[in-house]
Amino acid sequence: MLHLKNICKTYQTDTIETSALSDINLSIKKGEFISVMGQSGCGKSTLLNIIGLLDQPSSGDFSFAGQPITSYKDKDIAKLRNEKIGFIFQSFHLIPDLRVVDNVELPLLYRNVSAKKRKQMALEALEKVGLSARTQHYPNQLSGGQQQRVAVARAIVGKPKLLLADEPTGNLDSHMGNEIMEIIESLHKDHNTTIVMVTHDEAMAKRTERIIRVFDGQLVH
Amino acid sequence: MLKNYLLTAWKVFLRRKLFTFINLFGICLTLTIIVVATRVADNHLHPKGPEKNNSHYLVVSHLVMTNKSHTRTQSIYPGFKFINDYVSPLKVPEIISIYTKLNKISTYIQGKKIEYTIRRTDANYWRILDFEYVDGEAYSQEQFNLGKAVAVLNQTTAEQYFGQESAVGKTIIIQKKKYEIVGVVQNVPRTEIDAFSDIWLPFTTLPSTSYRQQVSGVFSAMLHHSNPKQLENIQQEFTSRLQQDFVAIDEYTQAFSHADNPLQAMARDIFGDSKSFENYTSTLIIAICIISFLFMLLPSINMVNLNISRILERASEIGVRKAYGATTLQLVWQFIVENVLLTLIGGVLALLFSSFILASIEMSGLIPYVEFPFNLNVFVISLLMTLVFSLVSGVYPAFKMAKLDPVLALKGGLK
Repeated sequence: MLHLKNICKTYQTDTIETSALSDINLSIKKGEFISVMGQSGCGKSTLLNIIGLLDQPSSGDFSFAGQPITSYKDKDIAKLRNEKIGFIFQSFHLIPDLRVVDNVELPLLYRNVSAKKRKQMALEALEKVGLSARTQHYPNQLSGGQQQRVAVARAIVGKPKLLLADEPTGNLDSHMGNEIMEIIESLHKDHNTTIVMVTHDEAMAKRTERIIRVFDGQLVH
Repeated sequence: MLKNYLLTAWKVFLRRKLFTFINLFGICLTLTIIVVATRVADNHLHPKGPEKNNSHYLVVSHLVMTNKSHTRTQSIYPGFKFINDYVSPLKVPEIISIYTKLNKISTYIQGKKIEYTIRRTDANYWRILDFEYVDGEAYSQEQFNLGKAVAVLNQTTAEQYFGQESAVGKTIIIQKKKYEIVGVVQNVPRTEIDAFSDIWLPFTTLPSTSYRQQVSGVFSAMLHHSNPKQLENIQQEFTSRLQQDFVAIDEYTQAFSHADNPLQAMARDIFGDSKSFENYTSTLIIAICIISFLFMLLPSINMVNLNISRILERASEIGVRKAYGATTLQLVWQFIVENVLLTLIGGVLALLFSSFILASIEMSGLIPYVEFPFNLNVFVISLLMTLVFSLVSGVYPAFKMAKLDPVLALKGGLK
């Protein structure tokens, strides 16, 4: 599903060059559920951003679903992100001005899907995360756990092949965190979705099939 | 998609009430001024009263004479002799009318002092201008030739003299002379400078004929042709006549005068060199465009600033939309839609405010009988202005917002 070969990422300022990732070699199989662990600032979010095509590596080869990513043109990668990838963020990133159902519809807006079909798909996704009763609410009317469930519904509404979760339970208490984790696990089990999850929580990481550890921008085996 | 954009835009406006208010205030103020100016200009260039057919005639109303070395110049209103010698003989115009500028007189009606304006004209004047008759008709060529003491009144003056009774056939005394009223016309707005008056009289009723010998005076001429394309030929004919046939008066060997349409007259007033036959219309149009653009630019820059300041607040939204597949162009489009919506709301408010202001001017009587009726042209121009405004102020912030790096945007920061 994903192949990263000799991936490096450096950030250049006027005077200093900082290396965020160096020489990353990683393959992730289709349907695999892996977690990425490491200390703050070790480069795990950068790795996730590169996998999610939100960021461009400074060097190295990256192929996604058997297709090498050679062009980082806005239009090309926007299409790939839209069709193949779902994101869950630590701080939910819901749009406060849109109702729950409209937030969930968001990825479908950038596809050729009719308004009626969009709504239907959004409602189905919300049902999967157990939020059918909250579709007309605004994000600020929901608890943190409920907001993250909306974010999960948004991530899965477009039926992505790859789900990227950046500390999805980081802002939640253990009870709510557990609820979210159960939903993510069921997605993996029921739909064979490939999932890459960044986490600080060892207990959560142990529930995944494989743990990758990053230290100072390098994978630790 | 559009519905989603509009919904988001509306929510953002409601959430940021102060921002929305400041933006709307700026847009509304600018557009109100522009709409008022456009409607006043439209009223001047496309009058609705007797001058409504102003695309069929030109007006000669100024005369400049200089000596050979251009060291002495006289800028005057033409007298009857000048018009009779150099305008009347022109071949291209189908109808030529000669008439005076306005003259104010006071009279007492039932012990109350009332001021009137008087204009003296020939009979052709009534053929060229399109007056609406309430009663009777204009004086005829024969009455004019014979110097008959006849008068045409506007409606308000007729009512002041005779109330609701018909004025036609009755007499009024003007400057100690008795005139029979032959016609009553609808009030003419003061903005129609060649048609406006309260009372019109034949200039053959002037007490003396000395005006016939005067080069400088209070006369103007109107040159009419049924085919507007011929007006340019009239201008050429008049110019070449002045250049070739002008007979020196004392030391003045050269004369400059112009047959202008309203736009040309306005341009000459502002930019014209009186000792030239040049046409300044294009200069005026360019100047108006530059001034309007600069006038809209200042509030636009303000809006650009306000819009950019919103980036920080909406960075997360931009990041999420990008993460879920929005292209930069789609986001640009979204922010432009937001800006256009806000500007259109401002535009609608501006139309309402400008109508209120113009209605107040109409009602104040500041400019007698003036009316600024709603006009589709002006509406379309205002709408275009509004769109230009929203594009000028919206495109740059939209690009800046949409080009945010998604990773930084999700962190809530800027590159």
